Amino acid sequence: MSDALTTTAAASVSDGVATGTTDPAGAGRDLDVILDIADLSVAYATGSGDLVAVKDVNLQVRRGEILGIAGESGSGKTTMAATLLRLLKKPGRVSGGTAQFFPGSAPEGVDLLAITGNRLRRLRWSSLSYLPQGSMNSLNPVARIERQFADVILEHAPKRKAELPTLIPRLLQQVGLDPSVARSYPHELSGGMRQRVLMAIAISLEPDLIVADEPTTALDVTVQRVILQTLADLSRDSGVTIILISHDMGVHAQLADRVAVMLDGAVVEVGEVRQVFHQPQHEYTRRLIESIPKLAGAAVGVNAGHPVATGEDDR
Amino acid sequence: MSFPLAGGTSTEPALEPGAPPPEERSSLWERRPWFRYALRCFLLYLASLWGALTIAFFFFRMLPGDPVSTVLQSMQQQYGTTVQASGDLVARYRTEFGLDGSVIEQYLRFMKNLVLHQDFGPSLLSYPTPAQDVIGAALPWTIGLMGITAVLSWVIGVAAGAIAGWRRGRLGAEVTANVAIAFSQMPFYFVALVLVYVFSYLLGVLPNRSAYDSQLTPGWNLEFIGSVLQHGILPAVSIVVIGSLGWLLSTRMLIVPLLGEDFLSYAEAKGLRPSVILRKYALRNCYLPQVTAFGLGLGFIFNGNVLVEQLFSYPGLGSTLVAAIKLQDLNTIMGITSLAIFAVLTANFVLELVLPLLDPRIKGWR
Amino acid sequence: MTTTLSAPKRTAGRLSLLRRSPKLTIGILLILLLVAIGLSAPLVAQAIGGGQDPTETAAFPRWLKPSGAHPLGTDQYGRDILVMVCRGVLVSLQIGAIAGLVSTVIGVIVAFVGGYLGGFVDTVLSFFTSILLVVPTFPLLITLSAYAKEVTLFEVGLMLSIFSWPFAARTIRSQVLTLRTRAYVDLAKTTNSRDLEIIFKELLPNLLPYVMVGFATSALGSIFGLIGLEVIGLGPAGVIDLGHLIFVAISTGALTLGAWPLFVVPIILLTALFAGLNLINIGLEEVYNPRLRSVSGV
Repeated sequence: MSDALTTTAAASVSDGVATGTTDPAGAGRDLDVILDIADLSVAYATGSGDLVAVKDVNLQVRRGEILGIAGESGSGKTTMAATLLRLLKKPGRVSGGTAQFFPGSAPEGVDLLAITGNRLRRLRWSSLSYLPQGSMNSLNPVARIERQFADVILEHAPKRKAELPTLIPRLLQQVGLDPSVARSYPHELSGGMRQRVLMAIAISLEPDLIVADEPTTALDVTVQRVILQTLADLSRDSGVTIILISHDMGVHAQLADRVAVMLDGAVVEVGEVRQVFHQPQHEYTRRLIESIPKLAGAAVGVNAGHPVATGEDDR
Repeated sequence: MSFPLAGGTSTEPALEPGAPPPEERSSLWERRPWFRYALRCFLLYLASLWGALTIAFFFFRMLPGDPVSTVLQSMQQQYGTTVQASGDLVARYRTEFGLDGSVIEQYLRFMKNLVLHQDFGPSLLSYPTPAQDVIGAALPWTIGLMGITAVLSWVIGVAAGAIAGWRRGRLGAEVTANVAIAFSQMPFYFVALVLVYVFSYLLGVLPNRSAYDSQLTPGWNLEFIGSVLQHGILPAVSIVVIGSLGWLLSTRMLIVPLLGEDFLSYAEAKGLRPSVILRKYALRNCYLPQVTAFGLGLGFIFNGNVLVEQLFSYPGLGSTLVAAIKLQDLNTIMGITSLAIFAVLTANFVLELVLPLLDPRIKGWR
Repeated sequence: MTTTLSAPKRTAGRLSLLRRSPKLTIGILLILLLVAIGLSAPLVAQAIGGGQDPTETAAFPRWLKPSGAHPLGTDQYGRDILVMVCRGVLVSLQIGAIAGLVSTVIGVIVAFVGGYLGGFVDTVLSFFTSILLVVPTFPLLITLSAYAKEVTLFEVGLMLSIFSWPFAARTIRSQVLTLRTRAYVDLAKTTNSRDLEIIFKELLPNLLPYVMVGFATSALGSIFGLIGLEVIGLGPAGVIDLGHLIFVAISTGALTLGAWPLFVVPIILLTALFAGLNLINIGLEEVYNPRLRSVSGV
C-alpha cells in the first residue's frame, strides 16, 4: 500500500520537474536552477540506532520562484531547512546526498553540504539567507534592532558602513515598519513586527536564496496575511528565490509557485501549486488540503487560485 | 534572574507589565519607569542598610563580655598600678565607649553617631584613637588587595568560562570544567597555605608576611611600590586562582544552555565570525546574571579576604578585625562590620542601577 | 511540561539517575569514601596505638617522619597524625551534617511559609534572607565563635547554621515559586485539597532534589566557615576537625619543620569533601534542571 503510494509520488516528482522548463537530465547545469538537492538524507543518532528524518529527497529549486514545502510537524521539512542552512546540530547529520547551489557569486555551483569554514561563512547571508519563525527568539534580546542589521551587513559588506544610516531605515520601510524601530529592542516589538524585522534583515544583503521556516506560524490571521503579502512583494520586486516551509497549505496556496509535500522525511509530491491543489496525486496531499479551514481554505486554495503571487510570475 | 535584595518581591506586579508598542513610546515613558526603578532600588537599599546594621548591632550587644573591664585590665597591666575600678571611672568609660543606658538608647546613639558623624567611638586596639581612624588606616590595603583580586577573578573567570562553554565536549574544555568543579569550592586560604609552603619556605623567593618590607618607609617611590607588589603576589594569586574558578563554572553553566538558543543559530546563519557570536551574542547575555552575582558575591569575597589577610599578616581590615575580636574591641568590630555591610550593599545598589544598561529587558521586567 | 507532570513518579528510577549523572555518582562516592575513612578511625587507632590512645600527648616521640608505624608521622606533642586525621574527617562530616540539617529545616520552613503564602510575609522573609546572603556575615561568626568557649559539637553546628540557612532557603524558595504556578498544583487547588496536603503530597516530592541541593550547599558553607574560624585560631575549643589540624600545623610551625602531612593531608581531604558536595550539587542541578540537561546531552 505505502509502496504503491511512494511510487506514485516518485512519478509525480519527476512529473513536476519535467513539466517545468528544466531538463531533468541536465542535473542542475541549467541556469534556471538555483538549488539542486539530490538524494539528500538526514539522520538523527539515537540510543537505539539512527532515526531517519529526511529520506532521499530530490528537489530542484528554480531561480526566482517561491517553492513551498508542506507537511505536518515531524515530516522532516524543518530538518531539511536546517540542513540546507547548515544549522543542523548534533545528533543530526547528513547521511547522504548533495545540494548544489548556484548563487550569483559562484555560478559554477557549490555543494552546500560539503562547504565549510570561511567559505561557508562568506556564502551565508550574502547568498543564502534565512527567515526564521518570528515567535522564536531569533533576535538577540540584548541588542538594538539596528545592531542586528549592522553586524551582518558589516561582516559581509564592510564597505557599506557609511550607507547604514540610510540603508537600515529603507529596509525597515520596505517591510512596512517605521524607521524608529531600529532603535528598539526585540522585546519591545510585537510578534508581527519581529517577523517583519527578520524579513528586512533577511533581504538586507540581497541574497539569491532565502529559506523561510514557518514565517507566519504563531501570528494571528490578519498579521499573517500582511506578512505573506509583504513576502510576495519582496519576491516580486527583488526576484529573490524563496524556499517557504509551512505546515499550512493555505499559506502555500496564497504564496507559492510550486509546492512540495513531505511525509515521513520523503517528498511525496511536487508540482505547480494550482495543479497540486486541483489534482492532488497523493492521498496525504488531499488530506492536507482538506485540513485547511473550510471558509478561508476553500476560498483561497481552490476557487480563487492563489491571489497573491499571481500568474504574471509564472509566465 | 534573582535580584539582590528584591528576590522576594518579584512576584509583585511589575512596574510596567509588558512593553507598550513602540508607536506609543515617548520620552516620558522612557524616563519614568527607570526613575521609578531607581527610586525603588534606593529605598530597598536604605531599608537593607538599616536592617543589616541593626541586626549586626544587636548581635554584638547580645554577646557576653565587657570592653570596659578589658580596658581597665590593660591599664593595670600597662601602668603596673592597681587602679581600683571606682564607680566613677567605670561610668566614665562606659559613656566613652557608648555602653551606658539601655540597649535601645545605645542603639539610637550608635545610629545617630554613625549617620551624623561617621563615628564609632574609641578603639581598644590603639586607645584612645577612634575606631574609624584605626579602620581608615587599614582600609587602603584591603581595597587594593580585594578590589584588584575581585575584579581580576571575575574577568578571568568569565572569559575562561565562556570559552569552556563554547568549546564544550572537547577535551581541554571538559578537563578545565571538571578541575573547576573540583576546586571552585576550596577556600582561598588552602591555596594560600600551599603557595606559602612552596614559594616562601621551600623556594624562599617570595615574602609571606606583611604588605611591604618593614625597612622601607611608605611613600610613592619605586622601591616601596615594588615591595608592595612583591608582598601582594601570594595573597592575590591565592584569591584569584580559586575566585576565578567559581566564575568560570557559573559562566559555563550560563553559556551552555544559551548555545541552544535560536538567536545563536540565527547569528551562525548570518555568517558572523565565531568570536563575534561568542562575545556579542552569547557572552553579552551572561553579563546580567554575572554582574548581579558579582555584587552578591562581594560579601563572600570579603569573608575569604579576612582569612587571607590574617594568614599573610596583611595590614588590612581582615587582620584588624581579627585583632579587634581577640581584644573584644567592640567599637572597631562594629565599625569594620558596618563598613563591610555598607560597601557591599552600596556596590549592589550601584550595580542594580547599571543593570538596565546591560540588559534592556529589565525595564520591561520590573 | 510533561516532565514536570510526571515528576512524582520518577522515584522508581533513582538508580538509573545515578547512571545518568557521572558527576552525582562521583560526588556521592567521594563523600562515602570520606565517611569510610572517618569510620575506620577506631580500627586505625587500634592498629597504631595497640591498645593505647595514639593521640594522647607524648604517646610517641615528637615530629616523627612518616614511616611504616606512623604512615603520616607524629606532631609536636608526639601524637599520631593519621589517627588524628581520621577522627578529624568524622568530626568535619558530623559538623556538616548537623549544620546542613538544621539549615535545611530552617530553609524549608522559611521557603514554604514565604514562597507558598506569598504577599507580605514573603516580602519580609525574603528581605531578611537576602540581607543575610549579601552582607558579609563572617565578622559576626568570628565574634560569636570567639565568645563561645566550651561548646559541644551540636552547638557548633547550630552556631554555623545561623549563617548558612539562607543558602538553603534561597535554593528551595525559588523552586517553590516555580512549582506553585504549575498545573498540577492548580489542579490540586481546584479539587479543594488543603494547603498542607498540597505541600506534602504535591510540592515536597518535587522539591526533594532541591532540598538536597540546599542541604549540600549549607553543609559545605558551614564546614567552610568553621575551617575559616580555625585557621585564624578562633575555632571553638574542643572540636578537633580537619580545620583544627591545619591550624595546629600552622601554629606549631609544621611547615618549617617539614611535617608536611599534618597540613597537606587535611587540605587534600577537605578539598575532596568540598569537591564531593559541589559535584552532588551540580549533578542534581543537571539532572533536575531540564534546561541544563537537554543541552549538556549526557
